[in-house]
Amino acid sequence: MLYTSESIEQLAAAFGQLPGIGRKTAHRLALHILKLPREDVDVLARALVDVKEKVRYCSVCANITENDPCAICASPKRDRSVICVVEEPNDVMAIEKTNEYRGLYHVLGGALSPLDGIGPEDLRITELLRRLETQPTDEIILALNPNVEGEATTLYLTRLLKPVGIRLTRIARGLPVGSDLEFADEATLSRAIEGRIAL
Amino acid sequence: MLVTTDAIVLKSMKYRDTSRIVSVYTRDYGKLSVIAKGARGPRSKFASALEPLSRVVLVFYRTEHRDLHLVSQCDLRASYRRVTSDLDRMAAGLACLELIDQTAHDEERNDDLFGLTEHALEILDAGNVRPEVVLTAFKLRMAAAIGFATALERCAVCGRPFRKGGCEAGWFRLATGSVMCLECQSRSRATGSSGGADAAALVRLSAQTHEALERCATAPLENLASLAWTTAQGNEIHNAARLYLHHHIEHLRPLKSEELLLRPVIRSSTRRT
Ligand SMILES: [Zn+2]
Ligand SMILES: [Zn+2]
Repeated sequence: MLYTSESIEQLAAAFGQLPGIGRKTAHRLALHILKLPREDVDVLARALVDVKEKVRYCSVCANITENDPCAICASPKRDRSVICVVEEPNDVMAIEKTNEYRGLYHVLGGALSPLDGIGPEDLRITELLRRLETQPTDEIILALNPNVEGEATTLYLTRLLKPVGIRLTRIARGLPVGSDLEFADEATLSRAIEGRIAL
Repeated sequence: MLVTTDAIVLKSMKYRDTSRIVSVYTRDYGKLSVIAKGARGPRSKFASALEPLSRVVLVFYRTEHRDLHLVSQCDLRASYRRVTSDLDRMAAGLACLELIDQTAHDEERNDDLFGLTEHALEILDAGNVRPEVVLTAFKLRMAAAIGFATALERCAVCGRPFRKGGCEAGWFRLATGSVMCLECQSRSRATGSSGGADAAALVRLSAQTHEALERCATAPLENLASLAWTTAQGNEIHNAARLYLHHHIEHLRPLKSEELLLRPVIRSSTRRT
């Protein structure tokens, strides 16, 4: 595709860097921006810059926030004796939506993935240990993704935190609500059987 | 062309909203990247078959001179659940995959190497052999499978066997993977026949370390259940195997998986009990 405008090409290239956006969509978006009223484009440009300028990581839990510490860490209503360890800020949002959990969080910034070059040093693990030194904690909940990377991280943190003597739990692995048992894959089903509870 | 091959999943990456790009080590075509469309949907037929450390039968459209092939079907043959439920086994298993990822090439069939990888994961999963033993054995046998086998049974100079009242080990020569007995080494040093530059590529092995390495390199994996070593021996063994691989494989990066076994120090103030 050849356009006469270098600016459009540049914008399309920038859109193309975004996750889930292919070359065609990137061009369509760039042309769409061209048709927008000037004010709308200003709002969009400002929003992009604001995200970079205003959003930071909470110095306590590493969640994304505009105020440090974040609203969750600063809230007097949260149970400060429980820390839920997650991989990414998205996971905090997902758990918050359940309205079930009243404790605090710790965002690791990923999961252990040696083949991608991510080891313990690349996650906020030292920060978690330092936090436990200063903040009295009764329970740590490991809420990592149910895949090999999440599992490696859970095993690693378990070995690391066991000697600290704080109650250590992990979220259950089972079947998605609304799914059919017969269509569940073998690994999910056997983990669900493993994690059965007494009635 | 639609082809079917045995494969081991090395790593799996999210792609777009619903797909995965997966790096696999296959029996017939070496290391490949494949794309599984819709693999992350709730009703995906691929699901857990695309997780690292899975042994699968892969059906894909093979397009020559392409970097990415389309998966048609992927059936799980083994998921090595005991490997993924224990940190030491997981680290050893991932270290094997890391070595394959760094050394295997696209479109390069190596039956020995594939068989070795599959067998090492099976042995780790069975749980009778210590993970560090499996990993050491894997390193030495991988070296053999890609063309630089060790020769640890007898002295490379005088030819006497090391075990059963033969001579005593020795010095491990990285360039050849062979071992020189202590007598031959001191004789060659006296006559000055071993050059100074060569000395840098020699690793001193204690008798126990030598025996452990030899067993790791040659005994059937399942027969290594009795093999165990102290931390000091472990360091010596680890070091010898590491230097050997780095000597023969260009640009080999240190294994990240082994970092999972390094325990960070927990300061006493954190400890409550
Ligand atoms: Zn916070
Ligand atoms: Zn000799």
